[in-house]
Amino acid sequence: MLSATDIEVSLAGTPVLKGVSFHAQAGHVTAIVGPNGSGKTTLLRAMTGDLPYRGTVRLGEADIAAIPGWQLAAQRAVLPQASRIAFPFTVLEIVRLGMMASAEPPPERRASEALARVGLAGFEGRFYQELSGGEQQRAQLARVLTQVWDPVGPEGPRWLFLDEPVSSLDIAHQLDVMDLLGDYAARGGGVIAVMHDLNLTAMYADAVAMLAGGRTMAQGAPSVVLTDTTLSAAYGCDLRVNAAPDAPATYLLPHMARRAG
Amino acid sequence: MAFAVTSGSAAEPEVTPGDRSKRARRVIAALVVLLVCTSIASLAVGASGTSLWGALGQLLRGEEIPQREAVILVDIRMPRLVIGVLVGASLAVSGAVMQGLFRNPLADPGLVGVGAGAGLGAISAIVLGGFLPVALQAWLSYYLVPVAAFFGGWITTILLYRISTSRGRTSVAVMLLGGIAIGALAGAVSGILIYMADDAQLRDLTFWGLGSIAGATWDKALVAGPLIVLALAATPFLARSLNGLALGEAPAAHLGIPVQRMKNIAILAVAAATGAAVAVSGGIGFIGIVVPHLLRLLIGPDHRYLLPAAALLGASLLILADMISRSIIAPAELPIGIVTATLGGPFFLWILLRNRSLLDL
Ligand SMILES: Nc1ncnc2c1ncn2[C@@H]1O[C@H](COP(=O)(O)OP(=O)(O)OP(=O)(O)O)[C@@H](O)[C@H]1O
Ligand SMILES: [Mg+2]
Repeated sequence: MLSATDIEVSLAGTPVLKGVSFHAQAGHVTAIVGPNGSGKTTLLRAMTGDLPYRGTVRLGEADIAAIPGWQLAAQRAVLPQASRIAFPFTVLEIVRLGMMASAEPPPERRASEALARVGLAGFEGRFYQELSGGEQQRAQLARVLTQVWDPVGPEGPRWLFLDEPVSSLDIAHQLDVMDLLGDYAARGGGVIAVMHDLNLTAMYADAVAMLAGGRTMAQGAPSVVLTDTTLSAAYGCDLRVNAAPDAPATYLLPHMARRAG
Repeated sequence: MAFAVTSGSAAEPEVTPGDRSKRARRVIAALVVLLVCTSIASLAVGASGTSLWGALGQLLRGEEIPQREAVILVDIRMPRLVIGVLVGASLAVSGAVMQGLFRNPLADPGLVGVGAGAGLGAISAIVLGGFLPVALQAWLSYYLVPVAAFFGGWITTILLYRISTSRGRTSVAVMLLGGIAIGALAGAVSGILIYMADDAQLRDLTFWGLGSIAGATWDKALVAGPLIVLALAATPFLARSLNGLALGEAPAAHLGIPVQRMKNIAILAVAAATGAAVAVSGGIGFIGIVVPHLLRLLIGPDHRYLLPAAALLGASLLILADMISRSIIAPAELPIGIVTATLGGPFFLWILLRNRSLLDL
């Protein structure tokens, strides 16, 4: 269980998060959605300890502020929204950085397994800086996966914190990666992902938190959060949610109607 | 891009693609051999015509080595070799550490004002030391100069980091321009101090400022040695953290790296190595930027291999440059800083041209 309570964050003097509470369960994929600038990245960064915040973030029983960095690194891995890397590292060298935190060295082939898992088998010898945007994003995801490879460790469930993990991927790789995350959760791990694609969110998330203007607007099952009213209010345009005809009730497709007036 | 191909060749089918650690170990072994060879050559070559082999032969036959030869070998060439190794290693390693810290291949203590800051410390110690009681002067001139250079380098490194890094991102433009400003400021204050210097101090300062290890003595080696050895000893602990830092400060912290602590240690190590090197040798440029860059092309940026390799190659190159500086206009000597600048300047321009995209300000 990860729970953030009454999180307040100010950036450059302006309040960005104004008392957000957020909960995620191990075994679930929990999506954070909301318009640009609503505070999704800020919430994620507060929960991963990158930003000073008011309020409390608990991982299991412990306050994350009190867990030493190396111990935290064994329990959760973080994929940032954008990553630039200094120096010409190969893909293999980048992925292996994820295994730095492990107490005992993982098997040599772990990095290649992770790369294969994100569809980058055979990319080991390529230079990271020479990959395409989507390939870089998947290489980073492979690095993050090697850090918390087994979804459940001796300390309990492990967690993935991902800021827009599929935003620059093509549709096939989006589905691959979402399957991978669903599988990680199904095996007992916790997955928290900032998402922009509401279709994928509806298909894969077990729980959704909707942020708007630095506050939690709604939180709960996708069917509760992804409704016409909530979406229209959050995004400021008229949105309709439809059930797809060929797969009734299993997922929803938001459909943008013509803007009234 | 023209980085060397990393896939395994037919001769070594066991090499994993993308894994350059085996090659890095071989390169380090070769660099050890290179350092041994250059060291022997450095002991054997000199203006006096004293032969290392002759002396060694005499030693083996149990004969006395003539007084003059012994002095030249033991009190002139040996300390010069030791200081050359120490200075070369510290310049190359502090360059590599600083580049890792700033996440930029163009960061070099000499280039971004840290050398100038260390120089200001050293000059202050030399000139202001002259106002101290004579009894203290002799003692202080040994210890005060490197320590003052260390503090000068330390303060400038911290200043530079503060100026150029905000929210965990270092701006290349601000780093380079800030370095110029800091360097100019340190140079100006140094100028005022030089104005206050007497004639003897002035001659010392001029020769020193050009970069030279000609005045090497065992005393100097003993004073600068501990600072440099301490700084070099810290680098193995920094290596893995610097690798993580290449991802950025926040991702490094997520890997469990104590980022703030490792940055403090890295800054101290850079300042100690630069300060001690500047104190004994003045402004020897370009080793800190050329050596790590060459090695990154050869073995990749993994600091676990890059740092020891830089120490070895930096030491060898400095000894070679010193041999050139001693022999090119023998029996007179060219300050070694002129040799490294003549060779390193064009090389640095070449690096700049290759990395133009990094400089999109
Ligand atoms: N360093 C900063 N200083 C000041 N304001 C900031 C800073 N970083 C972000 N903000 C502001 O905080 C708000 C929330 O930003 P955040 O990055 O959390 O948005 P987001 O929900 O992740 O948006 P996106 O969907 O575009 O990624 C925005 O209005 C942004 O302008
Ligand atoms: Mg964001």
